[in-house]
Amino acid sequence: MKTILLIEDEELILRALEFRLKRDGYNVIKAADGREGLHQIETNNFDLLITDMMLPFNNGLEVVGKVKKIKGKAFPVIVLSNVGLENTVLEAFKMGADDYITKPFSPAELSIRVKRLLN
Amino acid sequence: MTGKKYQYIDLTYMYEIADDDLAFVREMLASFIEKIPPQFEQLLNSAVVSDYKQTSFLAHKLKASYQLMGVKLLADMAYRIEVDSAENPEPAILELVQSMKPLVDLAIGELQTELALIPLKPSSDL
Repeated sequence: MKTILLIEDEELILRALEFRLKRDGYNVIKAADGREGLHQIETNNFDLLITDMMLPFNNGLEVVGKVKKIKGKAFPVIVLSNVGLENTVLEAFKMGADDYITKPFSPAELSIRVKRLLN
Repeated sequence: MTGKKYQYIDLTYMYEIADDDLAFVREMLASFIEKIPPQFEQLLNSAVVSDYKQTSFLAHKLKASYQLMGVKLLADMAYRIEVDSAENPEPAILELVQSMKPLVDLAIGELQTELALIPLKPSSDL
């Protein structure tokens, strides 16, 4: 079973994403802020990172940079973004993010984008 | 099931995410009802002390939760507060935050009504 590290500080969104990913058959490791996310990156094995951009303590850009440094440039990363934060998404792509999902997310789109990167 | 059943909330998106898992919907509604009022109080407090950076951040977070429950009016107001607090901070933002309070209460009331209609059963996916 593939494992996804999910970093999102808004609890309801985190639970909704976790629910959908588990429905799709993935194991999910959760982190509720950037600091916890960086700790999970350093201590856990996982196959894909999904991270929000606006996070307390360490933002999404730091998280993306860290995972690419530790796991390698080819490690798949999806960033979560709200409408209006397109510049932040561009910065994430410069850091090596592979894809992005806009919130509120489409469950079908989430499934497809995750499956594409894990296959 | 939801549609125009309520005035302030539209749970179409929430039920889409839940994919007919009513227990999950129940858990999410209960969580919103429990956690959002104190988060709104934090937003109000930050606006009262003119901490606009925090106001923008909290409005951004609340916006996502409002979107989840289809509380469009509050999501739109939160977005305006988020942007104005970041780009054009001024005392009028406090008035806008204060004007959200009765709408938050009304949305919570409708969610409580919906919650009462959902049978008790644990979700199998969490």
